[in-house]
Amino acid sequence: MVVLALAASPPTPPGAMAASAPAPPAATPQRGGTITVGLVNQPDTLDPHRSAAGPDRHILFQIYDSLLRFDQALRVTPGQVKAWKARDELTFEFVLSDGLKFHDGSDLDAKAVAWNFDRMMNKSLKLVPYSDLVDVDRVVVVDRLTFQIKLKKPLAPLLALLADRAGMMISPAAWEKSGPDNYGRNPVGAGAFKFVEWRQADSVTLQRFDGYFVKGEPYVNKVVFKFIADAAVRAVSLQSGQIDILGDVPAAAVQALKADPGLRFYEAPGLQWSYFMFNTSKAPFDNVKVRQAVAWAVQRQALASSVHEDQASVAQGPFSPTSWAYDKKLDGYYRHDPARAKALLAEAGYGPSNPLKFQMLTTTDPTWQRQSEMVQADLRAIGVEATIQPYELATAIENMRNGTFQGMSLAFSGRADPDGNAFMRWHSTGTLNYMRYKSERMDQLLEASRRTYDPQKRAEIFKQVNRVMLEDLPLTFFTINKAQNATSKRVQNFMLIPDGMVRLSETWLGK
Amino acid sequence: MAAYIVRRLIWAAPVALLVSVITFSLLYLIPGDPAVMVLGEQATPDMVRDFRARFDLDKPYAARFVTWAGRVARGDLGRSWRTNETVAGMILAQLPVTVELTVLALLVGLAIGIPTGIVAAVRPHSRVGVLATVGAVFGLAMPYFFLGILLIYLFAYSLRLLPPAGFVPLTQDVLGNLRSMTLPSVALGAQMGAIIMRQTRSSMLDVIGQDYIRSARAKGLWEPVVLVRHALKNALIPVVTVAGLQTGRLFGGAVITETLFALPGLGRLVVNGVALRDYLVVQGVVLLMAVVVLLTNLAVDVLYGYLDPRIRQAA
Amino acid sequence: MTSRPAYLEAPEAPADRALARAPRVAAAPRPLAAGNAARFFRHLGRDRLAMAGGAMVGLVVVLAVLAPVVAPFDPAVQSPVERLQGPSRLHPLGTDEFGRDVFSRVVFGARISLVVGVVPVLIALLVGVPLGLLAGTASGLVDTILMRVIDALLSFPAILLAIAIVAMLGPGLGNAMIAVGIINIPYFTRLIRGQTLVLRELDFVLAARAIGASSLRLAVRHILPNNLSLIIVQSSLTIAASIVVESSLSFLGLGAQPPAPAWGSMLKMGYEYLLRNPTMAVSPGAAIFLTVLGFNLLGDGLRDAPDPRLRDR
Repeated sequence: MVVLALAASPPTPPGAMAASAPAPPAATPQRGGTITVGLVNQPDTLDPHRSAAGPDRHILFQIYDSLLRFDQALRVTPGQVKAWKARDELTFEFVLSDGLKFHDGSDLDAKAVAWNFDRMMNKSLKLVPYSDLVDVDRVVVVDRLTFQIKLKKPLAPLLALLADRAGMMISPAAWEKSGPDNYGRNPVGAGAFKFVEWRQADSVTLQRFDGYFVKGEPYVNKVVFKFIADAAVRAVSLQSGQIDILGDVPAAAVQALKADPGLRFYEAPGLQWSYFMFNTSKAPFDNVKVRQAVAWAVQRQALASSVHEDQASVAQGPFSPTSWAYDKKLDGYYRHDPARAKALLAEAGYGPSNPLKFQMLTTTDPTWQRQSEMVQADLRAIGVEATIQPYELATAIENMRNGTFQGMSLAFSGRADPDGNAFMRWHSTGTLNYMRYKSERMDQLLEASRRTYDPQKRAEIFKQVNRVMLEDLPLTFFTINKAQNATSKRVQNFMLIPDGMVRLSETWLGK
Repeated sequence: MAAYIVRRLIWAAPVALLVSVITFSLLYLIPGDPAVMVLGEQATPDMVRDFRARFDLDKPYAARFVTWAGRVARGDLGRSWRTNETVAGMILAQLPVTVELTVLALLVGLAIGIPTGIVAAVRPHSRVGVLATVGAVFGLAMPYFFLGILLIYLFAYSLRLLPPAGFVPLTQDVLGNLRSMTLPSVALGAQMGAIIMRQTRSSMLDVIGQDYIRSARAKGLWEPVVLVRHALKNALIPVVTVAGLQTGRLFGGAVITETLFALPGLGRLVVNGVALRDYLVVQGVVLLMAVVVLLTNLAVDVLYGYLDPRIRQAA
Repeated sequence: MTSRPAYLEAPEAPADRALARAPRVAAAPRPLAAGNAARFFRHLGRDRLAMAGGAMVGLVVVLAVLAPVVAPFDPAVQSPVERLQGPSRLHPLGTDEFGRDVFSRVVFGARISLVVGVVPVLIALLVGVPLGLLAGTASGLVDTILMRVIDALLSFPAILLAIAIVAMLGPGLGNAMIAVGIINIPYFTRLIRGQTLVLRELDFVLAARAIGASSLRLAVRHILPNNLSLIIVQSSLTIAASIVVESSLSFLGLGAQPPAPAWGSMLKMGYEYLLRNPTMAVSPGAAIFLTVLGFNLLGDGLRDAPDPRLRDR
C-alpha cells in the first residue's frame, strides 16, 4: 500500500498553491445564478473518450466529473470513487460513492464503469484513452459499487489516468440511444451539470443536475461556456461583466487583468507546453537533420516574452520545472544558432538554390498563429520558406490524426503525471502519436516507466525519455506556460487546479 | 398590374433556378476529391466509399443536381459533415440573430439617412446639409469591420458604455439584447444610412422641382407642411424601394459584423463552416441568402409597381 | 440626370447592386470623342472632390511603387524587443506584436491592395465586357439566358459569394482575387449590355451596319470605344469595392497569408491588441478607408465631369 500511496501522491510541486489572489474568505455559499465562462475554441466533441482537444476538458469536467480528482497540488484524491486500494501490483480495487446517477436517471455503478472501460479498450473504436489503457486486462465487477481493474503489467500512472478523460464515465444507455455519430453532441454524464444546448461556434449551456452525488452541490443553476476567439474582446468581456470566468486567459491581457480591482487573478506554474511537431513519416521532416535545423533556428526566449508576454518559460521537454521528472541538465539543449541550423540544412541537401519549403499547420487561436509567425520568421532567417495554414482546432486535430500535415505549431494542455505527457505521444502505438514516431528505445523506456511504482525510478526513466526525445526530435519544444484564470469578484470559492481546467461544482456566486 | 406581377414572376422563376444551379456548382470548385478533403488522405477505401455514397458523389452532375434540388425543395439541405446535424436545423437556430441584426441595421440606416437626406436637399448649404453630404461620401468608403472596431474601441473600451461582443437572446432579456445589438447594428447600418441619405436627397430634389409642389407653395401653404405632406410622401417611394433592394448588401455585411461582434448568426455559421470545411453548411446559407434577396427584390418590384401610378396604369 | 432607382431604367432587371456602392448608370452614352476630351478634363479639373480623390489614388500608387524606398524597415523583419510600441520618430505608426514597423507594413500593404483592387477588375473586364457586348448585340435567346445568369449572380450577397468561392478553392491571395473577380463580372456585363443596346440605335452605328459591318466588328470598332468612359468610371468604383471585399476576406483569414502585410490581416491582428496599441488597427484601417475614398471620389468625378449639371451632386 505504501508503494501505491507514493504513486498517487507525487511530491508537491512548489508554488502550485500560489494563487496570486488570496482565497476568498469562507462565507455561506449562496445558491442560484448563471456563471458564464469565456473560452477561445468550441469543443471538438463532448464525448470524453473521443475528444483530443485540451480545452474540451473545461466543459467535460462539469458534465462528467471523474472517478478520481486532482487537488491543487496535483495529488490524486477521491472523486466518484470514494476509496481504493491495491490488492497486488496488478489488481486495483475501487469503491464508488453511493447514489451516483447519470443525468438520464440511470445508475453509475460498477457495471457502467466496466462498460465504459470495455468501450475505451475496444481497439476498433479508436478512442483516445485506448493507448493509456493498453496494459489493462479487464475490469471486474465485484458488487454493485465495487470494481477491480486487472492489469496485464504494472501501470504506474493508473490513478492519474482515472482523474482525467479515462475516468470520465458516460451513460451507457445514452450512448446506445444516440449512436456513435450523435453522442458527441448529446452527452450524458454524472457530473454536477447536465448538458442543455450547443450553439455552433457560439456557446455550450449546462444546467444544475439535481441528482449530483455530492449533497448540496452544485450551487449555481446554469453554466454557459461562450466561445470568443478574439483576445481583447474576451478580456474586456470579463472586465465589463459579460462573462464571469476567463478560461483561456490571453497573455496580451494579463497585465490589464491583474491590475483590475474588480477581478481576481489566479495563477500557478502550468502544465501546458507549446511545440512544433514534425510528421516524421513524410518529406521533408522524415530527415532528422531537417528537424534539428528547425530546433536550432527558433528563438525560444523571444517566443516566451512575445507570444506569452513572459507568462511562460523556455522548455526543452514536456515536464514543468516543478515536476519531479524535470531534468535540469537538459536546459539549453537547443539554443538559437542559425549558423548551425543552416549547416544542418546544407547536410540534408537544402540551400539557397534549393530552399526548403513546407506548410506549417496551426489553429485559428491567435496565440498559436503568433507563435507560427515567429517561427516562420526564424525559419526565413535560415532560408526556409514556411507557409502558415490556420485551421479551426477540430480540423487541425483531424489533419494530425490523418497525417495530412508536414509540421504543426501548437500546444498541448499537459498532464499532471509525466506519463500523460509522454506515452500517448511517443510510444509507437500511442493514440496521440501524430508524429508517426517509431523508436524501439523510446517504446522500451516508456513501457519501463509504467512498470514501476517507485517515483524515484520513474523520474530517472522520464529523464532518459526526455533526452531520447531531444535526440530523435519528433517534435521540438518551445515553452511551458503558466496556468491562469481570472474571475469577477462575484465568483466565490473558485479553485485553480494547475492543469488549467475550471471545475465549478463548488463555486458559487456572491453579490 | 396583374400582368406586371406575372411578368415579374416569369422573370423570377428561371433566375431562382439559376441561383440554385450556381449554389450547387460551388461544390465543384473544391480542388480534388471532397471525400479526401473531408476525411483526410489516410481514410480507408471503405470510408471514402461510404462517404461518396452518402453524398451521391459518384453520380453524374445532372443526376446529383436533380436529387439535390428535389431535397432542397422539401427543405432538406443535407447534414453537416462535421456535427451531423441537419443544415436546415442549424440555419433555423441561427437565423433569428441575422434577421434581427439586418432589420435593426436597416432601421439605423433609415433613421440616419432620411432626415439628413431631406436637410441636404432642402438646405444644401446649411451646416447639417454639408455635413450630411460629406458624411455620406465617407460612409460609403468605410468598411464594416473598421467602423466596428472604432465603435468597439470608443464605446466598449474607452467609455465602457456598451458590451464589445456577445449576444443576449431577445427572449431572455430584451434590454440586454438591445444593448448587445446596438454597436453591431450601427456598424452595419451606417453605410446603409449613406446610401439612403443620397437617395432621399436626390428624390427630394426631383419632387421639389415638380409642378404640384410649386402650386402648393403658390397657394401659400406653410413650407414644412409642403415638404412633409406633399414632397416627402412621394419622395420616399424610391427611398424605401432602394432600401429594400439592399438586402443583399446587408446580408454580406452581416457576415463580417457577426464575426467581429461574436454574434451567433448565419454569418458566424458560414465563417465557421469555411474553417471546418463544412461545405454543405456554407452551401445552405449561401442558397438561403440568395433566395431571400431574390424574393425581397421581387416583393420590392411588385410594391413599386403598385405605388408608382405610371407602372400601375401602364399594365 | 436624375437619380431614379437604377432598375427603373431597366425594368426587367432589378436594381444595380454594386459592392460598396451602387454606381448610377447614365441613361445615355457620353462618348469620349476627341473634341470632348478637353471639356472633360476641364470639368474634372474644376471638381475639387475628384481632384482630391485623384491625389489620394496617386499617393497610394506612388507609395506602392516606391515602397522599398519609402518604407524605413523591412515589413517582415521581426524585432521582439521593440514590440507594441506607440508612435515615435523611429516608428511613426508604432510597432506590432512582433516589433515590425507598422508604417513600413502599411506602405508595402499598398502594393497588395492595389493588386487586389486591379486584378479582379481586369478579370471582370476580360470576361464581363465581351459578355456584355455579346448580350447587347446578339439579342434573342442568348441575351435572355445571359441576363438571367447575371441576375442570378447578382442575387448572391457579394461578400458571401466571395467567401463561399474562397471556401471551396482554398484560402490565399490568388484565390481571393479570382473570387472577387467573379463577383465583379455581372456589373460590367450589365453596364456594357445596356449601353450597347442604346448605341445600337444611334445613327453612326446604323450607318455602319447598313454598309455591311459584322456585329463583332461593330462591337469592337464602334460600340466599345464609345463605352470607354463608362468602363473607366465603373472600373474606378469597382477597384474600391474590390479592395474592401479582399480586406474583408483577409480580415476573416481567407485572403493574404502571413507574413504578407495585407491591410485586412493587419487590421485583424491589430484588433487583438486594440487595448494596448490602437495604432496597430487604426493605421491599416485608415489606409483602406482613404484608398477606397480616393477611388470613389475619382470615380464620381469622372462620371460627372462631362455633365456640369451634376457637379453639385
